[in-house]
Amino acid sequence: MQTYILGLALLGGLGVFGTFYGLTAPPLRLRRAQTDALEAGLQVRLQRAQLPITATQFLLRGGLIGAAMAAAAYIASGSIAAGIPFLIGGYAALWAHLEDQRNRELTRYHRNLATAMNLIVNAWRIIPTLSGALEAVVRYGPGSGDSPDDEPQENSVAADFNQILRALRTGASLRSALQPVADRRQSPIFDGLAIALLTAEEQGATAGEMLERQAQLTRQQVQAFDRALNRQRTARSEVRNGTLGPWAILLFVRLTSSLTLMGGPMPADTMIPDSRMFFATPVGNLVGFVAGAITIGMYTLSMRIAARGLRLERVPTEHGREEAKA
Amino acid sequence: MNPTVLILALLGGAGVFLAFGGIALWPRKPRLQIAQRDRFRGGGVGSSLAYRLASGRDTKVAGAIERQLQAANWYWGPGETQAPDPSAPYHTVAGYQAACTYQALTLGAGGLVGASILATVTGLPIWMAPLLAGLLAYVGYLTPKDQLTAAVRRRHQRMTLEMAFRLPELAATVATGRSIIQALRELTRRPGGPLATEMVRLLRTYDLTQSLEAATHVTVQHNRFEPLTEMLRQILFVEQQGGSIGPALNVLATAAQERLQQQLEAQGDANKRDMGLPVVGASVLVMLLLIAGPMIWVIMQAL
Repeated sequence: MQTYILGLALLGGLGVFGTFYGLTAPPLRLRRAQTDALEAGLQVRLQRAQLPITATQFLLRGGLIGAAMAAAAYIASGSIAAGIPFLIGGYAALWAHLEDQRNRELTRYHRNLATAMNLIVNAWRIIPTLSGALEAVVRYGPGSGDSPDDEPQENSVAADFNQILRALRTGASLRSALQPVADRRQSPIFDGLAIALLTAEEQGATAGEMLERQAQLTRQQVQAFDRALNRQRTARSEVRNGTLGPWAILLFVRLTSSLTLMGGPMPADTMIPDSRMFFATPVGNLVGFVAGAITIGMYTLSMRIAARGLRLERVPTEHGREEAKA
Repeated sequence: MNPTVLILALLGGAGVFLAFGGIALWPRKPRLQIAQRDRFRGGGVGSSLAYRLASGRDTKVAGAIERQLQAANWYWGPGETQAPDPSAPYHTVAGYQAACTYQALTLGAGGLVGASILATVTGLPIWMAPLLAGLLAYVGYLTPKDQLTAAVRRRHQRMTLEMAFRLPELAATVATGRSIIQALRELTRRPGGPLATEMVRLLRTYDLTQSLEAATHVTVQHNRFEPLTEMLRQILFVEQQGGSIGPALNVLATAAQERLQQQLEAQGDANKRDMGLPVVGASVLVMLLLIAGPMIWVIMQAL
C-alpha cells in the first residue's frame, strides 16, 4: 500500500508540474476570432432553427408544459424529485413540437413552389414572357385569394411572387427582385427556381424545355423531402411513445386505482404496493430523479437523432463565407 | 494511514516536480518549433510531449490520412496562407498524429489517477487501474480518427445535397449558350458549399494550366468522392469528344437527384436504427426503476 501511495504522490507531483508548466509555457493553441460569441442566446438559436416563436414565449410555454409534465410525473410515481427533469423536458418537448410545425410549413411551401413551377411552365407555353409567368403565379398560384384579382394571402407563394413582380415593375432587375425572397426563405428549392427564372430571362422564348425540366426536378425534390419528413415524424412519434410510455402507463394505473378507491382510507397503491411510500423516501426520490433524467435525456437525444440529416436546408457555406456574411 | 508515509509521499511528489521542472524549464531548452499548420486545437499541457512522441511514428497510413483530411476540407497545404477550414481541429498528418497521442496521454493519465483513487477508496483490486487507463488511452487515441471520418461523411452528404440542386442550375446555364467553364465560373461566383469549393479548385488549376484534364485530375486527387469523380470525368469525356455538354449535365442532374433520394432514405433508416437501442434501453430501465425499485425496497425492508 505504501508503495502505492508513493506512486500516487509521484503522479500528483507530475500533475503539479504539468499545471505549473501549462501556466508558464507559451500556448500552443491556435488563436482565432470568436465570431460566434455575439450570436449566443436563445433568440438567436430560435431564429437559426427558423422556429416561429419569441424567446419569452418559448420560456413561458416551455415552462408551463414542463410544469404539467412534472405534475404528471409526480402523480405517476409519488416522487417530487422525479418531476425535476420533466421541468426541463417541457422545453425539449416544445422545441420538438415547433420543429414539427416548421417542417409542416416548409413542406407545404415547397409543395406550393412545385405547383407554381408548373404554372410558370404552362404560362410560358402560352406567352413566353417573364412578367406573364410571374403574374400567372400571383393570380392563380397557391395562396392567390378567391378570385384572380384578390390580394394574395400573407406568407404564401403567391405573395412571394407578388413581391417579385412589384419590384420588377418599379424597375429593379430580376436578380435584385428575387434576392430578398431568397434571403428570407433560405430554401434551396426556391434558389433553384430563381436560377431557372434568371436563365429563362436570358434565354428568352426557347427556355420552355429548361423550365419543364426544372419543374420536374422541383417535384422530385419536394417528394424526396416529403418522404424524409414523414419518416422523421413517424420516428419521433415512436420516440415519444417509447420514452414517455412507461410514465403514461404508471399514471394510468395510478389514476384508475385512485378512482376505484375514491373516498377509501387506503392509499392508491393496490396495484404497485408500497411504491408511494418508497418514492417518498430520499432513496425513492433519487430513483425517481434518475428515472426522470433517463427519460428526458433519451427523449432529447432520440428526437435529435430522428431529425438528423432530414431537413431541407441550404448547404452550409464553405466557399465565399465572408461574402455570405456580408 | 501512516502519516510518515504520507509526508514521504508528499516529499517524493515535490521531488518529482523539481526534477521535471529542472529538466524541462531550467536551463531553458530550445523550444519545439511547430508550424502553424501542424498545430492541433485543444492541446494544453503535454502538447509538446505529444509532438515529440508523435514525430518519430511510422507513417505508413500518412497518405490515407492526408487524403481524408483533404476530403474533409481540413487539409492545410504547404505554402497556403490560411487554413481552408479554420474551425478544423487539425490540418495536417503531423497535427492529427499529435492529437491522437495527446488524447491517449491525457485520457490514459486521467484514467490512471482516477481509477487508482477509486480503487484505493473502494478497495477494488489495483490492477484495474492500469487496465482502465489503457482502455481509455486507446479510446482517446481513436477519437481524432472518428472525428475525421465523421467530418468526411458529413461533407460528402452535403456535397450530394448540393449536387442535386446545383447540377440543374449548371445545365440551365449551359443551355443559355455558355461553355462549361463559364457556367462553372457563374456557379462559383456566389457563396456555396463543398461542391462550390471543389469547383473553385478546379477553375484555379484550369486557369493555371488551361487544361480541363489537368484540372479534373487535381480535383479528383484532392477529393475522391465517387459522384464528384463521375461528374468531372463525364464532363471531361464530352468536352474531349466534342459532344454537347447540355444533355450530359441533364443526365448527371437526374442521377444526383436519385442519389439524394437514396441518401435521404438511408439517413432515415440510420436514424431509426441509431435511436432504437437508446429508446428501448431507456424504457426498460425506467420501467425497472419505477416498478422493480419499490419491490426491491420492500424486500430489503423485510429482511
